[in-house]
Order: sequence, then C-alpha cells, then structure tokens
Amino acid sequence: MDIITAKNLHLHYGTFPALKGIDMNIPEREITALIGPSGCGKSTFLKTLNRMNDTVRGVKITGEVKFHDQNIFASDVDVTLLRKNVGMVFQKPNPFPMSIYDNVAYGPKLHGSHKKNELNEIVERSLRGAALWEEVKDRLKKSALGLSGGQQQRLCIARALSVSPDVLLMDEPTSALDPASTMKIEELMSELKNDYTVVTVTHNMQQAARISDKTAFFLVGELVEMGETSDIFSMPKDKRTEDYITGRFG
Amino acid sequence: MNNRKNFDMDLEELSEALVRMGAQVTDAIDRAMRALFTRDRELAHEVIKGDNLIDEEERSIEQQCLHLLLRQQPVARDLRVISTAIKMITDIERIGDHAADISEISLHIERAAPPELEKSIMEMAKAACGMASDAIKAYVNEDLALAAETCLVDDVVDGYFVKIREMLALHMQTEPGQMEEAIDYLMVIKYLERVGDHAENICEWVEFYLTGIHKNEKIL
Amino acid sequence: MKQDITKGLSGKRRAYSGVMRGLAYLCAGITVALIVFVIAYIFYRGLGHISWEFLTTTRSVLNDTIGILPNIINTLYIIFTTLIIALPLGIGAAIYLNEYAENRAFVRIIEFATETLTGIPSIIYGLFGYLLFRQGLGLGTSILAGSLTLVIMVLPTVVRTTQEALRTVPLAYREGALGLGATKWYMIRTIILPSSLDGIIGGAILAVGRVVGESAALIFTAGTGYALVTNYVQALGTSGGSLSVALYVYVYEQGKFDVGFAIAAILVIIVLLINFAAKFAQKRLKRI
Repeated sequence: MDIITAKNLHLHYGTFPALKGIDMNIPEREITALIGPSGCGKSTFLKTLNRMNDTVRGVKITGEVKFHDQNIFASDVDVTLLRKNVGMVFQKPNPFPMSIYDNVAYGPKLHGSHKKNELNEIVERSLRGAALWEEVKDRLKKSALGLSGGQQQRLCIARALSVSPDVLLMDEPTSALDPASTMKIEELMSELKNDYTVVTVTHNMQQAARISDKTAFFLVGELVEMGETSDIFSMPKDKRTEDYITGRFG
Repeated sequence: MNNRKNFDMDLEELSEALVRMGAQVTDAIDRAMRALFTRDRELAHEVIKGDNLIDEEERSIEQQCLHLLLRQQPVARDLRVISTAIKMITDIERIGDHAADISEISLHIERAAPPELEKSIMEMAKAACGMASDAIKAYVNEDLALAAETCLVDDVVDGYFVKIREMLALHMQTEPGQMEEAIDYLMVIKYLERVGDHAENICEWVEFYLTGIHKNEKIL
Repeated sequence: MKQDITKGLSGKRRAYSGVMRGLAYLCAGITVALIVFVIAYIFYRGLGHISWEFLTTTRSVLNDTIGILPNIINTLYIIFTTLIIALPLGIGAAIYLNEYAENRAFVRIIEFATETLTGIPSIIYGLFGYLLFRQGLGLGTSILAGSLTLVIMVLPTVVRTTQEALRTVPLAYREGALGLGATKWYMIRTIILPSSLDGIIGGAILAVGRVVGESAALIFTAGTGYALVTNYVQALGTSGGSLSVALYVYVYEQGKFDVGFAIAAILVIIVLLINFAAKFAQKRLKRI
C-alpha cells in the first residue's frame, strides 16, 4: 500500500528548477531513504510532502502529490491538518525554549487538546514512543534545552509523534549527532516503522543501507532510481547511482 | 574525490596481486608436470617449497580484502569485487596445493610413462592450466564470455580424465608389474581434474562479480 | 629542521602591539572614569538637598518652598501613557515588518524611515507635537499631548529593537512550530514573542530612558505645570511638568542649581532602578 504518491512533480525556486518531474510511490509503514549529493533536490522533495516550502519566496509547484489519495495541493486542503498527519523532524534538534512537557504538549494544544489528563497521557505516550520517557520522566518541567543533543532530537521526534501523524519526514535527523546518539535514533526509526511511515533524507550511505527498506537516489532534481535498499546498494540499475554510492562523485 | 582515488588504487593493487598469484599457481602446475615427466627431483622439491609462497600470497590478499572491507565499507560493485577476491583466492590456493601434490607423487615415480600416456596427461595438464589462467584473466578483464567459455572447458578436462583412466586401467592389466606407477598417474590426473574444478569455481565467482548471480542464484 | 620559536616578533612590532593595547586600556579607563565622575558629582551636589519634604510636597510660591511630588507623578503618568500606546503599536509594527510583510522594498523604506526618525532632535518632535496634538487636535498643553508626542519619538526605537529581537529567534523554532501545523499567528504568539521577550524588554527600557530624560519635546506639549493631580484621567488633560522639565525650569528660569542637582540625582536613581528591575524581569522570564 502506498501512502504517498508523487506524480510529475515539478518545483521551481524562481526560475531555478529544483525538482524536475518526480514520480514516486512511498509505501506505508516502511522506511524510505532519499539519497543524493547536496543540491540534488532530496530535501526539497521531502519538504514538499508536508508543504513546508510553501512559505519560501518564489516557489512554484506543478504536478501532484497524493496523501491517502488526496492531492495535498488542492485548494480545500488545510495545511494545518496535512502537517498534523505528515510530521517533520529536522536536521538540527530544535526543541522550543520551554519545558520538556510543554514541548511535547505544544502540538496537541495547537490542535485543540487542553484537558490536563489527556495532555499528560499524550506526553507520556509520545515520550515513550521516542524512547525518551525513562530518561526524562523525573524532569518533565525542566527546560528542554538542558538535554543532550541526542535527547533533544528524540524529544523532537516525541513532539512530532504527539499529534499522531501517519508519516514522519526526517531531514538528516542524525547529521548533528554523535555516533552513540545516531545509533539510538536509528534503532528508534526501525521501531517507528511498525506504526508510522518514515521518509528520511540522509547523506550517510551506510545509514541508508542499515535502516531503510526503500532507497531513492536523486540527482540534479531528478529521481534517478528507486528500489529495494538491498538492490540499490548491491546492483543499482543506473550507472549514476553506482557512481554515487561508491563515492565516485558527490 | 581523493578517498575514491586511493580506494581505486587499492583495488588496482588487489587485482595485480590476484594476477600474480594466478601466474604463480599456473607456473607451479607447469613445473610440476615438467618435474613429473623429466623426473627432475630438484624441480619437484622446488615446486613443493614454492607452495609456501603461494600460501603467503593468499594470506596477504586476504588481509588486503579484509582491510578494504573494514575501511571502505564498500557497496555494489566494490563489494562484489572484494568478496569475489576473497572467495577466489581459496580456489587459486587449492590449485597451488595440487601442484605441490603432483610434485610429491613425482618423487616416487622412477620410470618414464608410455609415450601416448604421457602425451595425453600433458594435454590434460595444459587444458586444466589453461582453465586456471583463463579464469583469472576473465576476472581481471571483467570478461563474462570468457568465464562462460572456460567453464565449458571443464568438460574437456573431465573427458581427458575418463580417457586416461581407461588407458591406465588397460595398462595395469597388461603390465601388472607397473601397478604402483599406474596408481600414481591416476592420482596425478585426479589432481588435474580438481584443478579444472577449481578453475570452474573461479569462473563462477567471476560471474557473481559481474552479475551478482552465483550458480543461478542472486546472492547480492 | 629545528624551528626557533623564541624570537617571533621583531622588537618594533612587539612595542607597537604593546602601545595599542595600552591605548585600548586607556580609552576604557577614561570612559569608566567619566561615567563614575558624572554620577558621583551629581550625587555629591544633589543628594544633600533631597529631603522627605522635598519628595512629598508640592511647590508653594506663597511659602517659597519647593517640592517635586507632582513632577514625580507626572513623570510616571507620562511613562505609563507613552508605553501603553507605543509598545503595542511598535511591537505590532515590528511583527508586521518581520513576519508578514511580503514587499521587501516597502519594508526597506519603513526601516529607513525609522532609522532616520531616531536621529531627529527631540525639539523637532516637540514642535510637531505642539502643532498636531496641542493645536491641531485641540488637546491643549497636557500630559496626553506630551505622551503622544513621546510615542512618536520612541516608536522607532521600539520598532527597531523589537525587530532585532524577532530576528534573533532561530529559524529552527519557526520550522518546528510550522511543521506541527501551527498557523503563523499561533507560532508568533507561542514561540516567537516569548523567545524574543528579552529584546523587547530591552527596547522598552530604552524607551523609558528616553521618556525620563526628555525635556525639549515635553516643554512645548505637556508644559511645566506643577499642580498635584491624583486622578489619572484628569491628569491626562492637565499640564504637567516631568522631572526633567522641572529640572530645566528650576535651573534655567530660576537659577536654582541645588534643586536641579537634587532632581538630577533622583533621575539617575530612577534610571538605575528601572534598569535593575528590567534585568530582574528578564531573568525571571528566562528561567525556562
């Protein structure tokens, strides 16, 4: 089952074509890794999936992206609801300058939950979901900025989980972390795919090979090749994919 | 990319080492056969001693491969080229062992073999040796067709084996006094037959290297 | 090759470096000395004339006594009135400029205008306020007219400091909030304003400083009244001199330098108190 399908998706920054006709199916409850050299459009594509680049000046998008068979660019789509269903975790951990509890409760409050019990329950469930609960349950009221980088990133994942999304978009979620924290996030991602669809951008080939089910290789705004991760990393069909994953450019 | 350049140089070195090792073993078989038919005991001893060098070469290539796996964490073709090398050297080393085995046997043989038998064994040795060097050539040149052809030659080698074995059986009947030598020759052709098998194995790894398929099964 | 690392710089360069360092120390020293001297001198001349009576009575021409209670209260009225108008207006404008405005050229024009406005001498604001509020709108010489004039005067400061503060809020916070589905205003209200509160308070302090220190713009508009009006609403419509204005009046018109220094000392104390209070407030707010 494909939860997101992109068809002939073009995106221009002003006159610069950042995405040139992307067709992609993203399967439900799997990890899809987007790889490619810097500036290849993979992050742009990721951000398009929950319309995070809507606000960027001069962006023009044509083609369609369907989420559960609804075109996310349709005029009657509520971006707030789209983003509730398609959450995002960023490259640098970005907890808000407030308490751990308030960070996780931010999303539910935003979407209208205000009852104390309900919030308590959501906060615990989300923190458990992000494998952070045990570490922070005694300091929920402390500032989130006091957590380590890896904990902050898991907090951001908890924050994204708090609104019960279907899809988690992750933009190089471990590139700012040390190896131990990276390992934890990777473990977490593998667990998350039992309940969520994960789409992640990574510059780390080994990471893509380790954790993803599908791998998509982007180059200068085009999707060169997408397939089973084990196929992409053993027998890529396209020479450019092979050259990239074996470090011949990029 | 600098790292890629170094990696490519390492792979180049690896392939050179494999060619070198291949040449060592085909040469060993050659000399073992020469020692056998000229009853050159000294040469036979040399071949037996030479096997150590081949074993060392295997070690060193094995190390190179493991280091590359560790440091480069290769994927795709790079991964296959290195894993193929690791598998291939086992077979190459066995061919070297067989050369030494043949030389061991030649130390026991006192008398010359009948000429038509000698000729057939020489032809068989040539075919088996040719397989081994072609197999390695196929790897180095990434030549799938050559690998496939070489596999077919194994039937020729097997054919020689059956033919010579019959000759030896006949010989044993007509010259019961030379029974021991006949058995020794039988072992020599068995070893040569094994050389062919190992060469075929190498060819199969070459196919894996180029296609990811080993013996009709996709393993990477 | 053995490298000698003992004689790197030539003697000349070493000396030059030493001289420059000395000059920097000297400049810092002079600056600190000046500030300390001014404050000390004001306190030395002024503190002696401050008495309980001085602080809690009104000026009486009949008794020929001087009290500055009305001026203190007028000052507070003016601060309060100015801030309650200027802060929402300035912060709102800054939010518009920083978060909503699409037209870059328009924003640049406004920013240029605010920058220019901060450089205009306050007497010109006084003249403008005199014409617009006192005569044009018929507010007369009153605390309201004075405060409105000061609103115009401090508005650029409030806008600019708020803009600076908004700009320092990391993009990552914005992305985090928007990524969860927050609307723009929800994000501004829950993330951006709280995390830029620091800078906004800083701007408010600057504004208070300018209000407390202003005399030229107020003499024309709020006047020099020294009657005690305890009702705030009534006071808005009455002429009332702030402390700075009173200082000017006593010194310039009556030659009472002692009173002037006493008021100056009180002004210095007020400014210090406001600064401390604001720092404290920032710390309290920042705790999370």
